[in-house]
Amino acid sequence: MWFEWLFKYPREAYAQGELGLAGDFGVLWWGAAAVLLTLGIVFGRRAARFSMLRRATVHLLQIAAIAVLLTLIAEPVLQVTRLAPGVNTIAVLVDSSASMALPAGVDGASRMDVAKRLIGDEIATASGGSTVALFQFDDNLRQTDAVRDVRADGDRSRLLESIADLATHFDQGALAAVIVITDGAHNGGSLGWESLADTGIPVHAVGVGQENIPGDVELAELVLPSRASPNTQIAARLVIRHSASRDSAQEIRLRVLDGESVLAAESITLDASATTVSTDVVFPSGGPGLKEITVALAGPSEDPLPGNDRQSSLLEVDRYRYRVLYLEGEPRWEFKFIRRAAAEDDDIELVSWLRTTPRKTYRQGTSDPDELADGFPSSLEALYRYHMVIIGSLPATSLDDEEHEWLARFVADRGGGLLAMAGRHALDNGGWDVKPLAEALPVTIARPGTNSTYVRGNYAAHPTDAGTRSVLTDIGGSESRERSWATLPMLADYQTLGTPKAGATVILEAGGGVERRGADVVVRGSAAKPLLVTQPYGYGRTAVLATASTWRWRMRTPPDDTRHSLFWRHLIRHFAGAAQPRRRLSLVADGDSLDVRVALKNPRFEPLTDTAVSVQVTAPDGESYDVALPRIAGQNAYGETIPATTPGIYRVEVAGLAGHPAMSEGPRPDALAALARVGEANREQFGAALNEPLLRRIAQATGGGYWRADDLSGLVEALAFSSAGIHERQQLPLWNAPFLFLLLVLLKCTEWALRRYWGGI
Amino acid sequence: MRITARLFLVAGTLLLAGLAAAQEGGFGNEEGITQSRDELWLTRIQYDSIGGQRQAYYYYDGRWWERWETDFPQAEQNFAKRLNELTSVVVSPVPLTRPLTHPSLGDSPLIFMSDVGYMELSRLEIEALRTYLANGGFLWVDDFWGDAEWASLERAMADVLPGKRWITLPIEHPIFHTVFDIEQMPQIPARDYARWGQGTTEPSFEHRRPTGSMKTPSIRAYTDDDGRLMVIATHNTDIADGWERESYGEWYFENFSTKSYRVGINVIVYALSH
Repeated sequence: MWFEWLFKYPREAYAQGELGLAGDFGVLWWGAAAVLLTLGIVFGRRAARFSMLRRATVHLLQIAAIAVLLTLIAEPVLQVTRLAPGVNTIAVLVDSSASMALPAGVDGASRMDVAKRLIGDEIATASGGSTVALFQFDDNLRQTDAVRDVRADGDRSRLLESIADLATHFDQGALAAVIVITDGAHNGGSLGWESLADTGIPVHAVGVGQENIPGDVELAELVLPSRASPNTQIAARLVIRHSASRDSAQEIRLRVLDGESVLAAESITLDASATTVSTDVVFPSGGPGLKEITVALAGPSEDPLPGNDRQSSLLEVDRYRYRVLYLEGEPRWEFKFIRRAAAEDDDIELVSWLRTTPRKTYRQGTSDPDELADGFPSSLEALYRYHMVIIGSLPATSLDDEEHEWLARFVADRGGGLLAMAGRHALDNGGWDVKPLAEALPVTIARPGTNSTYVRGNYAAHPTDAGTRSVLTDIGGSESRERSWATLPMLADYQTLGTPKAGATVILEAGGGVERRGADVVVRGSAAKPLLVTQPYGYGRTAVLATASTWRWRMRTPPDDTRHSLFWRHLIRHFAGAAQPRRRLSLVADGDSLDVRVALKNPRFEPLTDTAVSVQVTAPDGESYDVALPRIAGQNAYGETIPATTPGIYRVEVAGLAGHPAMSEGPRPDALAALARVGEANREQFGAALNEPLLRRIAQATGGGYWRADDLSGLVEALAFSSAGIHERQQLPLWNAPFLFLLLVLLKCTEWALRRYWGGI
Repeated sequence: MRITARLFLVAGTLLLAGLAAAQEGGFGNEEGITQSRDELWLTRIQYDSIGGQRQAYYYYDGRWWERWETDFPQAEQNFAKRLNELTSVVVSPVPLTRPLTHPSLGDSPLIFMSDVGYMELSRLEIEALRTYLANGGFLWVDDFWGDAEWASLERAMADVLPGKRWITLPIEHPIFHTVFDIEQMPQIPARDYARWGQGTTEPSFEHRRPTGSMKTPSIRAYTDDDGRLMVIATHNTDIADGWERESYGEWYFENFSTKSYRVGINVIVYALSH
C-alpha cells in the first residue's frame, strides 16, 4: 500500500517496466552541468575558511537537489506493457473437492462459500476488461457456466494436473492469467509444482481455509517396508500433524493393528513445540503371509476429521536373507560375539574375513571356496552380492584405491549398509579419512594423529531422543526401552569420533564414568559423547559405532538376556535392509488405475534398458491378464498405467524379461511382485488444512502471486501487468510521484541543517 | 638426603600399588571392570583340589605349588609374548588369576585351567561356570593325564553341564586349522620327562591312578547346540609346559615349544572367532 502511494504505481509495474525520460533536453543537461561547476567554484571561494570536506558535502547536496529538479523538468516516465482491454481471458479455477466443504474459519462459512463470494465480488472486479472463464476441478478439470452450480463433493484434488491441463489446452483466446481458489490440498497425480513454470502463464493462488484445523489430529504419513521377515521387529515411520497448543498438550493413543489383532500400542504427547511429529513405532511382523497393517490414532473425541486418524499399508511377511560381509583386522572378542548374535538370526548370513596374523587370514561363512579367497571381493559385482559391510579394526591401507571407491559405490548406488567400528586400527587410527569413503560416513574422520583416539574407559550407552524412537534401540523385550539400556553392563572402551555431519542422527551416546588415556591420566565424569551415529548416503545407510566392547552386554548378563543379540540383529537388519534390489517394481494405486513401473539393473547396478518387460496383473476377483510395459521416455524404467476398476487388492508380477535370463536368479526370485489396494477412502480428509507453502511455490514458479482470501487488494494491479496475454504499451508519468518531491525536500533540509550546525557556511 | 629417601619410598609404594593393581587387572571401578579395551587377558582359574601332598599340592623347584597354579605365570607370560609377536591378537602381557565365582569373570571370555586331576568344584563354582559357558565363554583345560584324572574332570563337568557328551575332535576340525595346519595332536611332556631318544609320555607315578594308557594325546570337547566348542580338554599332554619351558634348551624348544605354540595359537584364534 505504502509502495503505491510513494511511487504512484504498484510493484508489478516497476518489476515489469523500464524507467525513461519523455522530454529531450540534451543541451539543457550540458548547460546545467556547466552552471553547477561554476556555482561550486564560486561557493568554494566564498566559504574558503571551512574545511574541504564540509564544503564538498554541502556542494554535493546542492548538486543533488538541482539534479532532482532537472529530472522533473525532463518528464520522467515508467514505460510498461499492460493487458489490452477486451481481448484477454482470465481463467478462474475453483477447487470442488470435498475438503472445500470444511469450515473456512471465517464466520462459520465453508471454504466453498468463501470461494463463491470471492468470484462474485473481488475477482469479478479484478479482472478489469478481461473475460473471466470459470472452471472447477477435483479429479479432473471442467468448465462451469455459473459458480452457484459448483459443489464441494469431489473425492480428490488434482490441483497441479488441473492447472497444467488448463494452460496446455486453453483455446478461448489469449490466456492472461490463472486464478486458482483452493485450500491447496493436492492429493492426486504425480506432477511436480516445478513443471508449472513451463506453462508461461502466471498462476495467482488464492488460499482458503486454515493452516491448522482446530482439534484435528491427523496421521499424515505411514511408511512401512513392503516386505519383512517372519517374527522380526518392524519399524513403521509415522508423521502426525496436529493443532495442539502449548497450553493444552494432549496425549493420544497409538495402536498398530493386523486386522483386529493389536500388534503394538503406545502413547504420544502432542504439544505446540512441533505441530508435525515424526516417530517410529515398532511392532512384530508375526508369521508369513500378506497383512494389511493399520496404524490408528485415538485422538480427541471432538476431532473434526475422524477419518484421517488411521492409515493402512500392505506388508508381505516372507523369508529374506541378509548377506553381511565383516572385515576384521584382528581377532577380538567383539568379532566373536557379533558372529554369535548374527548366528541367532536365521535370516542373517554373516561372511567374515579375519586377519589372524600379518600374513594369514581366516574366512568364515563363505558359500564357496573362492569367496573372499583374495581377501576383499575381487570385483564390484562380487561386492554387490552383500547387503551390508562391517569394517572392524582394519587399517584403510588394507584396501586399494579402487576398493575404497567400490565401498562408497556399494552404499551410494547399491544401497548397501556400511558400519565402521572402533578399534586400534579403525576410523582415524586406521587412516579412514581417505576419500571417497570418508564422505559416506556420518562423522568427520580426522587425519591420524600421534595419539590414539581409541581409549579404555567405562561408559554407559544410552539412547538419545532420536534413538529412543529408533528400531535400533528396541532391545528390551517386555521392559521399557529406557530401563533396558540403563541396566546394561558398561562398555569398556571408546573411540573419539569427529563431528556428526549435517544429515546424521546420533542414536546412542556414551555417558562417561571413568576414562583412562595412556598410562596415567584418569578423567572422571566426562560428558555424553556420540556412540552410534547413522546417516543415509545415496540409496544406502552408513553408521559409526565408537566402541568394540558391546560383547560385555553378553558376557556380563544372565544367559537368557537377549539385549546384545537383539541390538546386533536390529542393526544388521536395518542397514542391510536398505539394500536396493536389482529388480524394482513399484505399484501405485491412483484412483481407478494402477501406475506400474519396473526398473532393472545389471550386476554392477547399472540400468538395463534393452529388454522387453511384461507384467501379469491379478485383479481382486482373481482374473489375470498380461500387460506389456514400454520403456518410459527419458527414464531408465518401464511403465504403464493400467485400468483398475474393481476395488480391492491387485497383485502385479513381472511375467517376462526377454534378453536377460540371469535376472530371474538370486536370493529373491519372487522380488518382482507387488500389491496395491485400489479404492482408498477418506482421501479428502488427509492433508485437508490450507497448504499455503504449496500455493506459494506454485505462484512463485509461474510468476504469479499468493493471496489470502481476506486480502485481494493487490490482485487488480497484478492482473493488469500480467506477463502473459495480449498487451499494449503505455508511458506512465512520474513527475508527480511523491517520492521525488520528498527527496527534494529531504536534500534541502539536510543542507540547511548542516549549514546551521557548522556555523553558517 | 632424607627427603630424597622419602620420595623414593613414596614412589616405590606407588609403583608397588600400581603393579598390584595391574596384577588384579587394571584400574577397577564400582562395576568391577578390570580389563582394558578389548585385549585378550590370559586368565588362569583358581580352584580347589582334594587330597594332601602330591595330590592337592606338591613340592617342586624349591616351593609348594597348588594344582591350579601349575606352570603359572611363566607359561602365560611366554605365551602372551608369542601371541603378540606371531599373530594379530592383542594380548595383555600380564596374566590374570580368577576363581570361577569372581564377579568379573565375564570380562575373560577365555579361561584356562591346568592340572585338574584332583579338582573339586563347589556348588557356587559349578553354577558360575555353567552361567559363564552359557553366555559364550570358552574353557580350556590342560595338563591332565590318564583315566583317573580324566574321570575327575568328567565328574566335575557333568555337574556343570548335565547331559552333555564329550567328543574327541578329529584332526579335520577347524580348531586344528585356524592359523596353523596341525596334522597331529602333539604330546608335550613336562620338561623333566622330555629326554632325547625317549618317548613323550609322562610316567604314570606322576599322575592319579589308575592311569591306563597315556600314550595318545587328544582334544576332547563339549559343543553347544550350534556345534561351537565351549569346553576343550587337551588330555594326555601338557601344552602350557611347552610355553613355560621355551627357554630351557634349543632341543626342547624346537621339539615341544613350537608345537605347543601352534596348538595354543589355534585355540586362541578359534575362541576369538567362534
